Amino acid sequence: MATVNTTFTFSSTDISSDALSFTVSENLSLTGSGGVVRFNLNAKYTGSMEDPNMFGPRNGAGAYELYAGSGSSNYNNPSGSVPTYLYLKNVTGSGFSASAGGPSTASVVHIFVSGAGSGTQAVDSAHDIVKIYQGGFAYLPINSNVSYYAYSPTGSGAAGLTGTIIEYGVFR
Amino acid sequence: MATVKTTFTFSSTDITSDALSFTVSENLALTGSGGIQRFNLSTATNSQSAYQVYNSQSFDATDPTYLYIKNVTGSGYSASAGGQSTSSYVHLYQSGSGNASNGTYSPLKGNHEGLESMAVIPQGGFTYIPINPDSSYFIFAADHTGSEGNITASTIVEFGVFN
Repeated sequence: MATVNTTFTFSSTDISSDALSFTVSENLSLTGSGGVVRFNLNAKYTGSMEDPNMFGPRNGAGAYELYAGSGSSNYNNPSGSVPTYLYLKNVTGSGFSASAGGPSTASVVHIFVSGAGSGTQAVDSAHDIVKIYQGGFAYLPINSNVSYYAYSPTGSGAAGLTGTIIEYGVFR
Repeated sequence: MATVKTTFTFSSTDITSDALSFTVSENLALTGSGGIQRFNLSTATNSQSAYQVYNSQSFDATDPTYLYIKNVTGSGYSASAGGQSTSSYVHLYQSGSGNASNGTYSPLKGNHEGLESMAVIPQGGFTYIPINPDSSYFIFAADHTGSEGNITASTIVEFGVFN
């Protein structure tokens, strides 16, 4: 069994009248495997998402599967009782050709979950749960019964991505 | 405009043959407000309800917004035989409310039918995510599977939303 220590520090000198700083830390006792990989999200997702709008439901066809929950066709699905952790960073996120009025010229990595696995009323798709801007990251203990996907939209009528480098790891 | 620095460090001495350690950090340029609060989530359990940590109407969809949650104690869950743990987990889920195009899924309530939990935070654990500002986010305390059962004691959480 491997052990991992994660520490999150949050600090600000101007968000309040007093300087704000706190640190939380946890030790994960892992029973399975894990690692961090870095790749170009564009290599998997080529901009064919039918709805580039940042709202609305998705399906998993045009996104990269970060984690296969129970019910997935991926045979590596784990037991739903195993605590599992996801870390993802948008390393570059460049090259997004935004349309007029678009929020940014850098691509944003979106994460959504499928409704696969057990549940009272599973749905096929869901809204984006996370939007990671360039240089940003997310860390969450995931629900191991559902699948997690990442994609970076091209924007309506835009030229598409030139590269969205992400790094992520799933630990359990 | 306030600024906030967040740093995440991940380290292990036995997950690989070599010691693993990396740190990521980002500086958030905030345009709105933010703060940390701590409360007892038990008031949002047993009644088949949940606590809203972010409302979809609070900020514009294009405003970067960040959510931090920690399950401070999460104790006192009376698990049934074969249950995963006697500690309560904090479940985070989102509704489909907000923008009109999100109307496919009605806001979750009651027994939380609909979308699955997107994060399951064990006792002592935490999460930090840049959220989708166009959805509402809710938390409730339950066992690992999401069954609320009987929360016999407190589930203290602390959370903050920064925009």
